[in-house]
Amino acid sequence: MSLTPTRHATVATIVVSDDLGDMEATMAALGRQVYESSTTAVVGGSGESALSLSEAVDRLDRSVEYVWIVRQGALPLPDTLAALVQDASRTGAGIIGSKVSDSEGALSSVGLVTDVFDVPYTGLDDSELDQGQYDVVRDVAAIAGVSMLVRRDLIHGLGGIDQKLAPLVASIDLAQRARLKGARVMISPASEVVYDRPDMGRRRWREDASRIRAYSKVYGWLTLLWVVPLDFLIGIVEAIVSIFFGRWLVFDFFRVWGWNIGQIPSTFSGRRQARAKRVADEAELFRFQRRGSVKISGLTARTMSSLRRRLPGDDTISVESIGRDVRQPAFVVGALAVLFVLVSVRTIWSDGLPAVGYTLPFPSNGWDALDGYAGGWNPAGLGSDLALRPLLAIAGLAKILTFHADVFSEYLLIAGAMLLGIWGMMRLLRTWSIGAAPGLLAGIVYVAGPTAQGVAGNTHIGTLLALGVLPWAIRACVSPLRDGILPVAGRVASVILWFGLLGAGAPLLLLVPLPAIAVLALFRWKDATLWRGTILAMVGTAGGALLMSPFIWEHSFEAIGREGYAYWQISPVLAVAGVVIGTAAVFGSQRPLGVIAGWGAALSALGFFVARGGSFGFGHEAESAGLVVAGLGLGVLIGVVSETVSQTDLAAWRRVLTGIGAVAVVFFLVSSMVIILGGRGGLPGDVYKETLSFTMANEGEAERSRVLLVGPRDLMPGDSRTINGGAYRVVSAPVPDLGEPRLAPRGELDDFLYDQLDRIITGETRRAGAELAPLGIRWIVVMGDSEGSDADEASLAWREVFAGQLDLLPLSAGVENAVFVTDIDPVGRALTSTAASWPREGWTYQGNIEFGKRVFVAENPNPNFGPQPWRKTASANEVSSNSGVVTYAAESAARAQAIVVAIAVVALIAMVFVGRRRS
Amino acid sequence: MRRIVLAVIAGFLGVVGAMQVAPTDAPAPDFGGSEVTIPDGAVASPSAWYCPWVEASDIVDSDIVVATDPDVTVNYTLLNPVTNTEPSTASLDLVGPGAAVLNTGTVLRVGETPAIVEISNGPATVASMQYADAFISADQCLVSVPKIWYLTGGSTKTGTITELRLFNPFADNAEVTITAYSEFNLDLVAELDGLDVGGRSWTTIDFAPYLPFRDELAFTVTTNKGLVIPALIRSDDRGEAMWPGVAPAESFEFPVVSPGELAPSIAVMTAGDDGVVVTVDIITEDGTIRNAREIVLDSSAPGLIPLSDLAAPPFGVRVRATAPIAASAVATVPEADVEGGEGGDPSTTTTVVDDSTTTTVAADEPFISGLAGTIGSARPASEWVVPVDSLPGAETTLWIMNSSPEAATVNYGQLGEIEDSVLDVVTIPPESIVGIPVDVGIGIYGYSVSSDRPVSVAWEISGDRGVALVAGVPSG
Repeated sequence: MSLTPTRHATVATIVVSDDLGDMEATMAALGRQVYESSTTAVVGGSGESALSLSEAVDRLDRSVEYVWIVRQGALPLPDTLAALVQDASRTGAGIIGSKVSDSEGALSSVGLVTDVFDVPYTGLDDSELDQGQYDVVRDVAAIAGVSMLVRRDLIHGLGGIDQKLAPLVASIDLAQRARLKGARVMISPASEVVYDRPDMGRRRWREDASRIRAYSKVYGWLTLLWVVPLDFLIGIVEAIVSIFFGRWLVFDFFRVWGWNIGQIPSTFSGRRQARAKRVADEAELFRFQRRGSVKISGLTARTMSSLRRRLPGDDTISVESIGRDVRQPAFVVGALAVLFVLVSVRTIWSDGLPAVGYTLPFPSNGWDALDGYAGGWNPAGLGSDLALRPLLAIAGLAKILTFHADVFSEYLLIAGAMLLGIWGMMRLLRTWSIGAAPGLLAGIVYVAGPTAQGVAGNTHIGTLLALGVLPWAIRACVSPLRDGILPVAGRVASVILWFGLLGAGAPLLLLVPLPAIAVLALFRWKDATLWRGTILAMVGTAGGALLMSPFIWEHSFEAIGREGYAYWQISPVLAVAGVVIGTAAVFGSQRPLGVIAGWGAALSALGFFVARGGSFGFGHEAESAGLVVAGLGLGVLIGVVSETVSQTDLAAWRRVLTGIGAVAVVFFLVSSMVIILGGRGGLPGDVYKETLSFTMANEGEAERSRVLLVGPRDLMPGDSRTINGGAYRVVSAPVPDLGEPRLAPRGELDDFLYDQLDRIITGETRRAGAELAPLGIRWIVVMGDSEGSDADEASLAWREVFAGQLDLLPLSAGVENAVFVTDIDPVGRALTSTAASWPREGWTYQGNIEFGKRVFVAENPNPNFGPQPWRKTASANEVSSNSGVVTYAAESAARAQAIVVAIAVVALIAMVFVGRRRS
Repeated sequence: MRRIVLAVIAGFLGVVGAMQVAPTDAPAPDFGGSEVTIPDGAVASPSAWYCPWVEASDIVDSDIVVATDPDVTVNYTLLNPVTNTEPSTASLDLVGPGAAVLNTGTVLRVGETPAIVEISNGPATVASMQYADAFISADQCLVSVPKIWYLTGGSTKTGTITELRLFNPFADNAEVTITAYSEFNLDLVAELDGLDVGGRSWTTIDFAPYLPFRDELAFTVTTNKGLVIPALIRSDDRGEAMWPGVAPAESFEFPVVSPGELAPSIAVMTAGDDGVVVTVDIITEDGTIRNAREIVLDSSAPGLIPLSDLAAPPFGVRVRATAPIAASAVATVPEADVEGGEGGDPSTTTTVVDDSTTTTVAADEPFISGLAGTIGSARPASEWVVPVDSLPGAETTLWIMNSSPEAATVNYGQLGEIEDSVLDVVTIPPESIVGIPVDVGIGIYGYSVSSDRPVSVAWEISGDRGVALVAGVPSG
């Protein structure tokens, strides 16, 4: 027994009321402390006479050495304060905190680490129990703020607690300011508090806002120079990514930064106070911070977890299961699939989409595309008011979302469609319990195999994008659905959106899921899910069609399907391999996969038939749609074969059959690798960018003029017209965009062009340049080889026509094709009455204002052109030049439809999220 | 069972799909093809005429004569022989029906200046005439630009020069292959294979260095790339004649072949790969001598059919063949002996039309010096717009051939910058020709000819300087 008198440090207890916890229980727990405090006060709360923490500290007697700050709802053990005082005295800590656990015994905090953005990180797993594993007295970045002991003189010197900050961040702020003054911030594990963290709900933005204020006060300017912008960007990323998890943080994001902008004066004041007479700089703070961003790490972990839940296999996300999955072929092949896609479209990343056939670069301005789609002017050929394809609206939207980056939107859509296709095929097959690895193999063949290559070879980029959507559209119909109005509504919305997207890419594919699912339901007639899926597909088809407004009202599926001649040239080896896979899948698999395989075989054969059925009236676009269907069926067959071949309980003959099928699968996989060579996702190489690059030789000419392309029909960009068997079409310079490949029926100016060409061809005139100049045609390009013994007949015939003209000059320097340029001047798509040529800016014409003058606009005549007064002149338009810009008033009905569609899409997306959250 | 049903469906669809055949390749554009397609005449629309042989220098002058039915604007473009020099142009508005002449020397006098004449409407026709103190040469200009041209009537025998003018009025470079045929059949000249003719330029090839001492020469000019308009120029110490390429046909009519006392011949070549029988009918002012001469023409050799022994001038000729041929008329100063024809094909036979099959022609100097040649008309027509020209000391005669078995009533009227056009009527007996001396100059530079049945029209100019024959161009 010691006779030395013990001097107890005087401690004042301050309870911070936040109206969230149980105050009575806290007060009771405080009353049970073995270390008595000299006084106890309650601060904060909603009462009008409530003191602030700083005011309470200021009122304390100078004899008080420590202030114990306890949050309302915290339940300290009886020796909590004693342990705090003891460790504080022993270590000389300026701030020392308690270990916090919840009422279930799970640890909540043993001191905090933050990242450079002051985002707290506990380092604890969810529900990690306290087994003494962190019981070490140590320095920490901050204290949780539930229970902490602070030297009174320190807190007084620091100016108290920052009342503007959220409680947790306020304690971090206090710790950081204390550390700058040289104080130690520690954790005392012997001091324990039970605290159930209340739900912060919508007040979470305040914590984010407080962080920014907190670090702004303590970091040097140099550090802030990179921390603030980086934090801003992370906030954007978080806001976007969180959408996919059903959280809408965009408004919070703006609120956080808005609040801080409003607090700038007081933040500056606080900063001066915090950094005055500091004995350490932020390097001392960095010592207790973790690297990287806690937010980004959290988002990544959450994304991976979400992805894993969508992959077949264990639904757990434990470290063990991740390790097990990583060792599985599915995970490896999945990574390879991503790599495969990235490599397969690498050229698009650098050069953008090739300009060839129906694949043309996205419009440079996404708003032009949206405006054009929503009842605006259709720029194809010599223009028309015919509704553009919804694909253009998607391209425009992608362009806008990528801030009009040169080629990023094109890369995003192509690579995204391929990944979506692989992923979708996996998910679809998973519906029938086919594993990840077979699903991935099927997905790769689906997006890169011979059928996909056929679509790409046809240059139908819309179909190529829709290829990625089709499995999702079917899966959305046939996958299980939870009961409840909201989940059902969410699913219906999801189906309509998928179908709309499908139809937007390739209108004919909109008609595929319904009969496909109906046939499957017919052959698995006891499966209620499939019958429900058939109904969903009906709704999806109707809803998807409506989402294609205004396009859907001006075009018929029959016309689209019958344009051109379908004939897919398939290698006999591939055909045999396909038959082998089909046979192996249908007869080699066990129930219930046999029927699925039969369904896949029927799809595959139907698609094959359509893709070659030109003699039955199927057209070129139907060929591509048929190829997608064939690819889908082939994917199902490959999935079934790959799944079956790995089963061990097969009869011997089945094993042999599926083994042979597996060889054919390998064959298809190898043939799918071919697209890696070009790096364009199977699309042919660029033609028009290179061919028409000469139009940029003289600055400004390309924007003012058109190009007449003549030659073999298959070398024309998109649709073409014919005269006496020769194909021709007019395109914009320097390269036509995605608004131009599909021509509308001939208008008056098209007829005029036809007549002029007829006169030129028949030799009625030998001044083709003068005849074509009124249409803004400056150049004539003969596509194909028009010279030598290997010359194409069509190219040669056209070359002879234009070689025999008196006012056309041949261009020879640096051009691959025969090119003629007119000797006429001026030539312009929009010419004023003073012969000034207005360049094309985006999809309209702009030039110098000329009051009282007129502009002759070489587009098919339409009274919607302005500014008024409009006049039809020589089969074209004449408008006023008073405003310096040629306008086109959108068709009101089409514009209204497009707006309704946009609203509907937003509403459907919202419905999907609501439905998913409720699920 | 269900999977089998599905498999059967799949098999059926797959088999039907596999049975489909590829579509047939789309035919090449039909823009008229690469064969000779000289139009039958002037068309009722704008047109561009090419005149390869135009020259204006210190000793040579050229006229370009335009005759038109409607009001037109005529734009003349004369290419400049100086490299990289813009062509010279001239323009005139012509009230139709009318005609006008342009002395090219008033626009550009720098030597050879091939011309392009663009006429804003039609029917209208163009002819060019070159003249100096010692010669006149003339013929129609050309409106069509075929890929293969046929030119007959050349010779490089002693004292005779044959040149080929290749005129490329277009900007694109042209590459041509010239194939020559002579009495030695196919006469290969490597240098003339793949000959380049620059855009908006011309080249003139003298055949004496390549194919000397050929009595008969005929050519095909094939354009491998681009387009050219050729003309053959034949000259000797007595004169010069020029005529363009022709399109093959099975029949040609030459309303006049015997100017002055020159000895006419018909130069022919076949356009096909087989031999062909060529028959000549002589049509005089008094009637027709049918089958006056007949030859069998080999596929790779030209033929020259002498005519001076068949009838007394003036007369015209109708040439008929069993397959398409090219033909032109050439009239030269007679030589001492034309028995059996000049360098004629051994298979040439002479039809007995008179007491004797051998005619001896005196080698006296004709009353006019000269050399004439022209192409024929492949098809008689009822309407003709004929640009004509004249020179001091020369006479112009309009020749009309009625090869039909019935008489033709022909109206002809003056065209020019005159207010009151004189209209005349002449009746042409069946299968005969009529020569009508016409007034030219002083505002008259053309004649419109209309007939109640198809006729062929040509004109002749003869005088001190020489003689020239010019084929007419039908307009309807």
